[in-house]
Amino acid sequence: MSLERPRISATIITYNEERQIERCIASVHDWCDEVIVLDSHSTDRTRELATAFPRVKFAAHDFDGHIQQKNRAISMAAGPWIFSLDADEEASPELARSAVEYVTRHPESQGVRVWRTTWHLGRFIRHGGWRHARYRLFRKGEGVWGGENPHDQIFIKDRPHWQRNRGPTLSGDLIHYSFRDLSHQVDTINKFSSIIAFTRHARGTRFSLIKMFYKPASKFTELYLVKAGFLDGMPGLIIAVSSAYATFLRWAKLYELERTGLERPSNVRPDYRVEPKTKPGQSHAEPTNQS
Amino acid sequence: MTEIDRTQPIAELSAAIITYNEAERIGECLASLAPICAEIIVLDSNSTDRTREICSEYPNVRFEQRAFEGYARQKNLALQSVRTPWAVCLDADERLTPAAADEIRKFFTQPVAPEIIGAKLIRRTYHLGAFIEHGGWTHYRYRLVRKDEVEWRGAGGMPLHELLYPIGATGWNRKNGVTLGGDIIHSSKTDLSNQVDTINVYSSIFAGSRQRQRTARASRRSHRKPLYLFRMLLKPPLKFIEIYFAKLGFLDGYRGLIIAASSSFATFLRWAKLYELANTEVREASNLPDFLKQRFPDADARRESPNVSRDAGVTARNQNLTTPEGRSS
Repeated sequence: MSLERPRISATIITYNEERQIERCIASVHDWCDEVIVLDSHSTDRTRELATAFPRVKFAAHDFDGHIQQKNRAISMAAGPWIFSLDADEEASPELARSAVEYVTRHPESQGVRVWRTTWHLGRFIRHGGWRHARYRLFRKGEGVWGGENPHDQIFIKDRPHWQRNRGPTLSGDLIHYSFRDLSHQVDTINKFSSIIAFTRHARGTRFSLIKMFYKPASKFTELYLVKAGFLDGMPGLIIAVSSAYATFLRWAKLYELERTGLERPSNVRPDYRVEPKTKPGQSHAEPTNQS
Repeated sequence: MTEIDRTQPIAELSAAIITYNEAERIGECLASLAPICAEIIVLDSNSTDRTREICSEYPNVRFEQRAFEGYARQKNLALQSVRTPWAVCLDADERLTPAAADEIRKFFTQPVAPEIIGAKLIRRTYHLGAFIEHGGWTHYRYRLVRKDEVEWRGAGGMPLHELLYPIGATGWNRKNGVTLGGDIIHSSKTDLSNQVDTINVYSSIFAGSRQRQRTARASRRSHRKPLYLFRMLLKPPLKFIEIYFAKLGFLDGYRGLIIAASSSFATFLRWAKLYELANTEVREASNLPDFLKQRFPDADARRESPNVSRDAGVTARNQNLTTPEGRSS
């Protein structure tokens, strides 16, 4: 490349990611100048696999929340550009090419959005709201992780809230391998619906029979029809039905907490405490039992 | 009515239980069985909790350990190590009510006719804060059996939902079985989250074993694609209608509704997972119990490089590269 290219640091946080970490690092290793891997004391081969890559800078820190940990990884990076990704993600070659081109041509830009596409049930899920563009490539100091898991994202400095998801996008995809299979997705649905029901119960939401049926039906309509999930074929249908059941479970579990004397769902960790609600964009402690 | 002697256990009766990490539940089960059984066989698959210690508190428990190879197999082995002619078979999360124990004592006060090889009792399940009376959740189960005449078998050839069947006979009838009063209480101390976990595991077992049958068939006959979409859309609503209306689930109130909806989703998941096994890179479900795992050596390698280019995410917008049909050749 003829132009002088600014340096890019990739940042990844890990905990027991031996299944996926190599794929993730390999996808950024060739075009990022350093790869920060911030681990929270994995007990598997994560460290060994990560440090085999020459550009990896490996560090370990106690886990105190996804957002805190991701921001800590950024603070360890040299910059000036940061590419922040998760261990279950992979940058496509096209994304790598367009990212390098972007930082070379727009040295004054605060950041740029990246399309994040999930691979599930044997295909890329491009509808039903599963494919979206988020800020992931930005200049150090211009972006910070915030929000609430699983809706945590990078917020660009001095940008009004309504503009948080606006701006140009790069070509190429950040491929997200969110679930090993459908069983893994159902397992996640089960855990998240418990946490949500437990949180809502603690914050005073009341069970409603009408909502228990109206909400899942509208969730299905939203994903399958409004957001065109039907274009994803059979996987789109499976995802829409599963999401509708996930919504149903939130209300069914709220019923369970309210009317059957259950104190906390069996898959919510005993040390999980419900935090007071915060506004989006504010950084605060994470529910620690989500991963 | 004759007075029941509750001081002695029944000489011809043992209990057969299989366990794995049941320390939380096994106590009540053993307490309900210990007074009536000459011996209690606990066949454990190497629990790591206090199951063994709790069992050792009961002098008539014989504790044995063995690696787990499947529910029906393990239960049959437990039944075979019974040394008395009769056995009562319970799960670790089940117990006999005192009324059921009295009924069993009464059953043995006179010699049992030789053609009788089993007795059924009502099994009630406690879930979501109450006993679930309808929707097929309260049912008779043959659990008091002549040890050498019956065996555990999975329903429909599946490695789950196993029941006791007479060996060599098609099923139970009035000639070989009797009905006893009293209940078996199934109180698993679990919640809806546990039920969803169970649904998730059982649908994986179902899909895995259907897929094996399918591939076995495919080698003999021409390869036919089953109508997943049709079953996936038709069967779940039918399941809901069956449980909520035909089996009167609505009489259980909100609980009946939650159970019917969850069962309906369970039916959906079975076919969705079968679709997944037949059409994607997934070879077996990630939550399949160890004893059913085949451990495909290349499973992870396949996952990490899907059959499409890494840039399909870009190009597939225009070219329909990633349809499952296109990849399954």
